[in-house]
Amino acid sequence: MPDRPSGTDTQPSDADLVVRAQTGDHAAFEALVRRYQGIAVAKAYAVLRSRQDAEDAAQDAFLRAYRALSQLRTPGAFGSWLLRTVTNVALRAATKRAKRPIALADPEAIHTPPPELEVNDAIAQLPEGQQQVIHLFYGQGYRCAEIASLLGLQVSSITARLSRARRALRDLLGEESDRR
Amino acid sequence: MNCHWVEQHIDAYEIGDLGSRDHELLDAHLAGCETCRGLLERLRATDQRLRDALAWAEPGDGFARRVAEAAVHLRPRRLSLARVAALAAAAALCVALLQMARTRPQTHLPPPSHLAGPEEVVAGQLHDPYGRLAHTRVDGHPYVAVAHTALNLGPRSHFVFAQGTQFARAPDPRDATLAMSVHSGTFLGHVGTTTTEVKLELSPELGGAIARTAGCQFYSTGCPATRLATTQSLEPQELADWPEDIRVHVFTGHLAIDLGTHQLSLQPGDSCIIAAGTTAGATHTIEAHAAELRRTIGQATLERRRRYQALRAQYAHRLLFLRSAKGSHLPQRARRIALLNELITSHTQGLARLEAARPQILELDAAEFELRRHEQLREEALDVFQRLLDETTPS
Repeated sequence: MPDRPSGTDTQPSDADLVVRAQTGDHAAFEALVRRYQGIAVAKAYAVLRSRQDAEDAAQDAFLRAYRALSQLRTPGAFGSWLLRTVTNVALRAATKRAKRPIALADPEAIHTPPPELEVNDAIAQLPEGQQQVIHLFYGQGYRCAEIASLLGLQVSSITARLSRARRALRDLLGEESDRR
Repeated sequence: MNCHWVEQHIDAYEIGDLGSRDHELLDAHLAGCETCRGLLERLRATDQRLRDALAWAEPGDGFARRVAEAAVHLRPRRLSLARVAALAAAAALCVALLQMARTRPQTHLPPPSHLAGPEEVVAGQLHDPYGRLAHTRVDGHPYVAVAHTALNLGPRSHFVFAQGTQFARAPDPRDATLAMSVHSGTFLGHVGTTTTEVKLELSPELGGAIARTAGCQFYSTGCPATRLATTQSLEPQELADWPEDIRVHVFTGHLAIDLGTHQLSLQPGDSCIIAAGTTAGATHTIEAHAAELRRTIGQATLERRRRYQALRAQYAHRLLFLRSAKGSHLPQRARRIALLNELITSHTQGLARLEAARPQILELDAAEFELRRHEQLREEALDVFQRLLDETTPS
């Protein structure tokens, strides 16, 4: 297997950050949070439909991930592991909320919908690996080679995953990808 | 180079995956072809929508700092000897309590007098990675079995026993389906049908082994030593303490995973996810389960729910617009705002009534999330094959 760079010139890889966070480096953990906070909130929002609840769920998921970090044996898999945790936390929060009387017309939920609710929902329907790449490419502005290096994967895997995700999103959004 | 070639490669062009020569050729083609420029513009418009949506989701700068500060006060969970001892003591206490509970009179179901005694007595309890008692769904309903709870299982039922479960079984005299009486412990998840896909083997020790037929190729994550075409034996207790989901996809051959309390038997194309810290698994039959739920709920109900959600989102967008500076010049603004508020309330109520009346809808949501996890697993497996191809193809 060919050697892969560990992170980009300026950005350490997920695996590097996880290993540092496992040894108690809080700055490394904060960098991981910064890297994944957007996709974590978006994913929780797809379940909870409330910005505040989504941020709470994302925060809860990060803290749970932090507590279990020392047991993560494949540090490079942090992203998809975290996204699964976010999903589980959000589903639990949704179940708890379903048992409460529903606040009709929650003003917060109504007044700050995402500008592209449909797009957010479409992203949430992708497999987690594709969501992660879409987030890093469009949300964080990394190039494919940088994402490959952050995740410890081959560039060809990332471009294949990104292409599949783009095609799937166009289908989900009902947009024409062919001519005319 | 023609338009068809451009159509095939424009994604690679946009994500920067096209060689410099092809990039130049495509640039030249775009300069002279209005149709292809239109295609590129549409793709870029979609990309911009993605950027906008993801930018909205980014929390403010303070978020990461708040989380990191909260984490400072958390102690990362380590499985120390003291913790193992505490868990063992808690498990012993639970078993004792459950044994006591077995002697209590039955309250909500007839006593299982027609059933034999427990087939298996397994000590211990399962915990998830956060130290809580692990439990999940039985055919979609959150459920923790208690003493002498009888369950009716049809031929399409899905079930897994967690460690610590005591049960007896016998044909149910009422409808001739398999009946089980769970005496204690936790009844977990679904691993496939009772008839063909999964063989359950209860045994007292936790741990197990993954066995494969000759030529079996499989991919797994979460359990690093079991990547493609390897065999791995696991020490007792190792799986129970495993912090990650173990995810397996079988390409060829037959794969049997003995998890101590049950055995998963996987055929080519099957995927399974073994939840972290438990010995429960789920196979691709979650797809059948979701399809069944969709049939039960009915297309009309699902369509109505989708419409309610879409309308509510549309009203919210319009409301946002009216309240923004852009909308301030519009006539009858206050009236429109009131009307939209009323519509949102009405559709929220409709949605709440719909969801309260149909718990299967929430169950379907959970099943669909589970399906996405399986899709991701297959995606990862495909990536592995792609990587293998990359590594084996001579450059």
